[in-house]
Amino acid sequence: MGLVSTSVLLPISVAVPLGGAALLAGFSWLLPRRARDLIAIAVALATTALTLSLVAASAGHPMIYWFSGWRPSAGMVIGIDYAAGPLGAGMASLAGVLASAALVYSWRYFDSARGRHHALVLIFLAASVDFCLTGDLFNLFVAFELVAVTAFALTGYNAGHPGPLQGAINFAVTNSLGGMTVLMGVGFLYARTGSLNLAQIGQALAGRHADGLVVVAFALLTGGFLVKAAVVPFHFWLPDAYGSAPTPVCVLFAGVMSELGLFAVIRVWDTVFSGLAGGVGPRMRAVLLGFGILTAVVGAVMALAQTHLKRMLAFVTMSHLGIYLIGAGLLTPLGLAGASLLVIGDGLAKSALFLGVGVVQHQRASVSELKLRGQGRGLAVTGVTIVLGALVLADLPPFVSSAGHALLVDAADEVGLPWMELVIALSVILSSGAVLRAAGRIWLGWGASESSRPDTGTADDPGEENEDDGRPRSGRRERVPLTMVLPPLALLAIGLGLGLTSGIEEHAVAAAAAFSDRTSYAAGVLGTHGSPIPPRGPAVPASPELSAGGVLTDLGQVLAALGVAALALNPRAAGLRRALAAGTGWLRRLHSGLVGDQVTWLVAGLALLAALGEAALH
Amino acid sequence: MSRRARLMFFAVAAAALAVTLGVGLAGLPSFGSQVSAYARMLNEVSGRQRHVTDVVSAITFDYRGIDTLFEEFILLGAVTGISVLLRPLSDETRQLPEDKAPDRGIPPPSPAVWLLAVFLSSLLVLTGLETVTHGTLTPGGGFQGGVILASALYVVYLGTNYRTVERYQPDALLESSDGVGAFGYVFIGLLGLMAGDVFLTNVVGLGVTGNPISGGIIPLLNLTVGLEVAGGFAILASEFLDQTAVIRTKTGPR
Repeated sequence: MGLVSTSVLLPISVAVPLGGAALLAGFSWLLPRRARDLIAIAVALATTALTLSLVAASAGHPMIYWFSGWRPSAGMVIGIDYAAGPLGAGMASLAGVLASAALVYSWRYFDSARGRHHALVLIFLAASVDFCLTGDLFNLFVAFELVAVTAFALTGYNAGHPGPLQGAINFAVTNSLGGMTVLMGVGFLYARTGSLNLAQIGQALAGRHADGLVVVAFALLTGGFLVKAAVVPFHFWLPDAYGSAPTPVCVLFAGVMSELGLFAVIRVWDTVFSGLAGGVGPRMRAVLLGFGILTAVVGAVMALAQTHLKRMLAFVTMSHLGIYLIGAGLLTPLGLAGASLLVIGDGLAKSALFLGVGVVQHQRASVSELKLRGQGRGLAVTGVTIVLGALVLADLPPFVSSAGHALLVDAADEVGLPWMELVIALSVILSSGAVLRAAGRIWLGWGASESSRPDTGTADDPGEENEDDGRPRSGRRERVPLTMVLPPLALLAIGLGLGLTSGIEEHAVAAAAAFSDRTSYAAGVLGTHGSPIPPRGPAVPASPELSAGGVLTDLGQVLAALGVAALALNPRAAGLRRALAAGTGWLRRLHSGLVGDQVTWLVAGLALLAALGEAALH
Repeated sequence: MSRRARLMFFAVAAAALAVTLGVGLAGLPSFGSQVSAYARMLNEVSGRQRHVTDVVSAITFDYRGIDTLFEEFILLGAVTGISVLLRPLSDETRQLPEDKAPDRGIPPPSPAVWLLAVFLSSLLVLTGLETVTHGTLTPGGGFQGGVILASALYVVYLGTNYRTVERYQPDALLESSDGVGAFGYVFIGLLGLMAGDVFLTNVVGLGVTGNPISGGIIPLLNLTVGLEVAGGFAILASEFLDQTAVIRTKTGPR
């Protein structure tokens, strides 16, 4: 009975948000405003609770669920399965937490859309959960598309203004192309293996040498997912979309959507391609690390160049995504565990930052760092939120990001890449420094005034976009509603709580080990052994002295980020800033915001990925 | 990038991608050479296991029914998203089209058009219902039939004038149909759980092969999808018509 009752959690985790969304979409005309808000929040919280219990229930052995009761027969998969482990379920519950926070924050926010905005958020949540749990490649594509369709509409919420409209269009064009490449990749693999099930495809390819078709399928699938993950050079749509989406939507994007793209890359690699013959792992590691480093550094440099707060956070998000790709791309359980804890810890912090910026935008009607100089008075709590969020992104202990960072550094050492720590530190210091600089200017009034920065208004930095967020603005100095102040603080508190949870590193390593073990995954799904997989004894890394060293590194990063902010605001360092701005001008000009450029980069990226895939797999 | 640089860059990148795709295509099994093992097996067993004559229906609504649930929600998400994007914005008002001469009413539609619309729409309703209900037997089902049903409403739009459509259009009914249809699929899935089995298990009798009511829950799922699609496509038409005919910026037409 115990097994039956917990396996029910899997379908219920998607049925609850889907059912809630359908009712909100169909009957919003019947429901009073408050009821719509309450129903949406209740459904998101329930989904969070369900996926959290999945994390607990699937620890130790993965949970397999065959929809419609079609179990594999004679070694052939007939139906579609969910294959949940703590890693996927954890990702799903992060989506639930952030969707709940976004809905609480948008209490009475999206009133002009009646309940339909909330329905879209819930569909987005359901699609994310499906994405994390599914064991079927085509179902993964369907979830990818459902996330995309709802995300396009949510981005364009303020479509009456040119910025959000353009952002949504760029997003829709590039991500639709990404979806098509994924679909083509699915088609190629199906043509080769005659299966759509991840485990079965992986078994069909295992031990064989990759030929052209398999390499192309790899490039198309991975490329499509990297568009969603916004990895260089597939990332150009990201600042446009994040910069123009409403704040609560940014939370979902920055904390969930990009990470889902990365999740899919690793899930498909681990279950489908990792069994290819010829020692493909180490060469693929080099490819993924290359993309990761490039993304981390480009994102950090670009973040420092922004004065539009939402675009800045978009690039911060991107930089951190590069770091997760470094962790996951090490292709070891330790690296994946580190990346997973970072995804959780940073996701909470990034969301808190977006919500904090949303409060500033609501109260001061601007998201321009320069226009807001010295305008932070009266918004002290939000200021603390933003500074704390930036420090957490720099891996301030004892928040959970710090634990993830320590694991990631250990993982890089383990495979003989100790210098990776420096790349990560550089990216983290620069991107957090950018946010701290903005906070210093807004709340302390430090730094030069507007006139000294002539580069606002370029395509790279559009300056002010006066958004219609649907909120009534009675007076500029009204009290900030608690529903806006509390969610970001709650998110930071969760990050702190997880960081203080003892043994979280061990749990993460065990979850990552189960996630990346292709053969036992396949055995579990295809039922080729009777008993559940025995819990593996993972090499638990974090010895006390390493942790102490990790704490020192983290504190160093935090101090360095503060130093970067101070340098960026110091009037005597103006020459240095001008030199840096001139040196990075070419990079900023590449981010032209033109959809033609973005598609060109996407096509080039796919071709590059195919060439690298050929080198790594063949 | 300048226009020229972009074109050059794109040409090189696209050529490289074309080579890549060419390599992939060359690895595919040649046309008509073989059917995959998965397809072969489903062709063999679906008639026996699910009492259907349309194998595609059995695959979409039974063997891979959870995919179709999410596909139904892609449609719901798209329709909901479009109605969010096309809602009257803060600088827009709703203003019914009016004849500029105040002493003259809007001319009624021609009786010929009106008659044709009545004839066509009833035919479309009939065809739509036929397509929705016969998904287990012949190609068709809820998605296709729903679109046909919604197009009956489009024909009614054509046969009358916009003021009448605005007055009588059952907006709430259409939205409810969209929502109930989507919820219905989830609900039928939950019936499996309530019966003590898994989500989307068949919980009703399979019927006699060739009978319209056969295939277990497949006809029921077709009905809910038909409701959702008909409502969704009707909402789409009404949103787009509103955007062109009724919604005006406060300073003048877009």
